[in-house]
Amino acid sequence: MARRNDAESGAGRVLRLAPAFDSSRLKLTAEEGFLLSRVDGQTPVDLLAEMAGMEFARASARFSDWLELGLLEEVACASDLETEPGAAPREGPEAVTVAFSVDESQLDPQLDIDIATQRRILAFESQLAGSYHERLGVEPGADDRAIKKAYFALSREFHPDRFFRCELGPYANRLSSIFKHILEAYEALSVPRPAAGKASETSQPGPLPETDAGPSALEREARPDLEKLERLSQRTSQSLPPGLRRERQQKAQAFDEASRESANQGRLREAVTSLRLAIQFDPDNVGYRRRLAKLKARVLEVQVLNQLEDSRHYGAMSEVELDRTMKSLEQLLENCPKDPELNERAALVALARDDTQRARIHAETAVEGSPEKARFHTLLGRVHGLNGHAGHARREFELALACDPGDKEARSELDGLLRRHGLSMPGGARG
Amino acid sequence: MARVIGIDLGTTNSCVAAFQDGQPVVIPSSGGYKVTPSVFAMTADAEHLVGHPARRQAITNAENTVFASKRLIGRRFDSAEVQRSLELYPYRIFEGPNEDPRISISDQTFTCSEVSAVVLREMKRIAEEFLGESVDSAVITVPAYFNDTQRQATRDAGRIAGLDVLRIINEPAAAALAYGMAHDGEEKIAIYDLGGGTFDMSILEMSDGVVEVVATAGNTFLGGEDFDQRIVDHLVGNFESEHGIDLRSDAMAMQRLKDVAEKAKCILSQRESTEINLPFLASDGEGPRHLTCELSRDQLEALVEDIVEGTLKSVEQCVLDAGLEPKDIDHVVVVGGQSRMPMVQEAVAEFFGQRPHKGVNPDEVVALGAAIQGCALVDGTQDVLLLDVTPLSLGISTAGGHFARIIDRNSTVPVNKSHPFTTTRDDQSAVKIRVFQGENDMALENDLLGEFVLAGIPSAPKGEPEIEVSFDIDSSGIVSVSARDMASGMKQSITVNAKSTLSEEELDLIIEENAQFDVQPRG
Repeated sequence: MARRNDAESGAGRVLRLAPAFDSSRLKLTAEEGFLLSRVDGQTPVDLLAEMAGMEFARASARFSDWLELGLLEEVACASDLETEPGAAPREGPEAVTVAFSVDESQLDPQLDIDIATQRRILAFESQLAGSYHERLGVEPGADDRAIKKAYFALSREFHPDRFFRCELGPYANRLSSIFKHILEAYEALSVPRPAAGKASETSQPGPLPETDAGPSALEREARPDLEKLERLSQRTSQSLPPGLRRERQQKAQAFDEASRESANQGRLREAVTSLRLAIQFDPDNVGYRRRLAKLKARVLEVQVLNQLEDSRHYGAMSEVELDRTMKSLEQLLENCPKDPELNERAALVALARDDTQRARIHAETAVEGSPEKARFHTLLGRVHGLNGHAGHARREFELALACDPGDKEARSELDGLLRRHGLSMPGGARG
Repeated sequence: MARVIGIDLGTTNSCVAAFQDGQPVVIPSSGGYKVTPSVFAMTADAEHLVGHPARRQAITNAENTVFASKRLIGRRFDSAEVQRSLELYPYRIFEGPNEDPRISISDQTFTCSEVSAVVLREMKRIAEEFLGESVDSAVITVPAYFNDTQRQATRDAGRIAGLDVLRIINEPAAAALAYGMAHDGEEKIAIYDLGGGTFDMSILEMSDGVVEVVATAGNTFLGGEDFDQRIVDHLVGNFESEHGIDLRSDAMAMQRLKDVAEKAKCILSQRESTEINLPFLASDGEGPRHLTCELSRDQLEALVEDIVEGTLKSVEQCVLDAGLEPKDIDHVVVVGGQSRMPMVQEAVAEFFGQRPHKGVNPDEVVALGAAIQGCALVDGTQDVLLLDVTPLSLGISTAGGHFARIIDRNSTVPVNKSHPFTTTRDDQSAVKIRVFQGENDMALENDLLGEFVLAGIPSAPKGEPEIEVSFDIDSSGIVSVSARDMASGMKQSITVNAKSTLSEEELDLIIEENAQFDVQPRG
């Protein structure tokens, strides 16, 4: 094992990407980028250099820089690895029984937690830097069931609830950290669920409010920040072995197709869910993310429209809700200011808020857009009536009846109007 | 070690359980009732009534009888739910100093937590009477879909009632714990919980004494009360068209209608039709008017069809969130009194393609689960572990009022997650972190849990500073949020649960005032 002799130069050491590090701000050359992309937490650094076609010294210098930056972490017990040159990542059962030396000074007999358990906690804690599989103590190819079983067993051992209200001293934080690490490994290794997705998928690193000058919700949804998306995608899932990655990409494609089909059939929510799954399996695919942003914009639009669907609700809405509804409507109207249906709804909301001036503007726009629709005339008539313009109101109701002689609402509004003003209907108009 | 009890604090009824001889049992009151109405009333001579006595006098004293306060707890006064309750409930609801709804009966005002505390204290009393020893700690259940404020208000209620609240747990999770006691092996179960005022749907996986909540969905303002209300509306409408009398402003008549509606609803779960008879319901110039009519199961089903349909949407969402299909579920358990309705059972059976499990009592299973969790926490004799989730996404608002999720809903707790953010203006020296909970993409549509300012950011062009916002939820559900400027290392943080509808001083005052209602166990 020539490699062992290189221990001083660090040739045999194994590195992995630090989980929380945002590498998007690093300026990397293509060569460096490739080198970084090969880091998988399994392959020793000299092999990585070989794969990248870089001199070992140069690669090693880069790795040292990145280690210092916190981008990379040393994998624990790297010296125990027995990797042959050119060998694929280790297969088969892990050497689980690595003897960890526990810092005896950390043991505290005063706590509500026996010494054996304290030892176990300290030993397990020192093991956390390993791969996800190592953390859970399962073999690399373990199936979902084995992963879940391991996760449940470790939860029974380390979940903070197992030591509820015990005097734990520094062990309280250790337990909580251990459980979070176990959970992280379990979530990473188990089949992704739509709702348990990574937050980065729904919220890109974004600006914080100070000014409200940001784009409207609809615009934001419709025009994703592609640059950011691309940067984001650089930092994900580079560390997967190629075989697994391909498999995941294929799954992603299947989900993407399913999503397209759902979208074509108008089942948007389903489409979004499938697409999210696709992204979970293949987070590097910018196309999926773009399509998701578009789909979500459509969902939002449909949502707003549905909310506004039942105009009878407006009367029952609280002021706050009405304000919100009006805001949503304004957003939609920005895109299509002349849309008669939207203007009709805006007029109804304005009426519910007793804003008859505004109601008139929207009702007029609706009538302009579709002068053949009786109900728009009726609406405008009602607004005129409320504004005290009985004459205008009467004309609109008559226009409504001209468009649709069977329009009952126009008929009764007109009757009411005439009755209030002591007028009678022109003969024979009733019935 | 003092006894721990489990309390299912329901909208309509509450139930208490504890361990006896190694088994969780539901504790009956001295009157033999296993469930106690969550009703609180004050009589003309300022006597406090709770439970069955309070409920019995509700008709003659409707304005001073509080029911269904669980539908108000932890909500804002201006929320749609509270506004709707203003019209529906005969007791007076007004806006408190913290924008919370408060209740006024017999010229005394109560916060919703205090009303719940009255019921909790009664449950504590029932347990102490039965067990013959004092009880000081409890696990209390809430609907899985309760948000942080609602949970906190419930916790406050427990404190006011003189209980050490070990944990607030989700009702479906409690039901699963109780179900899991009797079932070994690996199973995926769906819990459909349609109670008096709330609806919850959860999917759980269990094996080896671990119960993992996989997904939850639901509606905290949908339940049996809404079924009753549909019947009442139907009867009021019929009465009006027959006699031309609007009963809506007559509190006593409405209470009688509500009572009879609930009874009719229960009967129609067993029989095809029932007669509703309310003599002397109103009177007009021609004398007294009676209400007599038939109500059939078909009619009832037509009245509530859309409500049942609505629950199925949550069911679908939940199954989808769990990444499963209906056929993957091994067992379906229905919980909550309203789930007794045949139409509900049919709908659930049809969705999952299997009949719901019959072995549990839907009224009692939640309290039993709460007792099991209590026991598992304090003395470890119950070897079960509940892996619970946070039901709603948590995040902060970003420019444009957008909601940036940091912890997704259905994340197992304890958990921490962080995410980088930046500034929107050149040389911006401070950012405001506003913490929200909810699912809407617009931050303001969600519930604001708290806010703080991170100042002292070194001068830099917009978009340059990197501000890491971290969320942490511990195993009892307490959320803390911190923000750190990576360049300067400046850090600010808050513990979100500190914000509740009651201030700490107010709470202490109430606890002191309420100490006088404490009872000593007999014997």
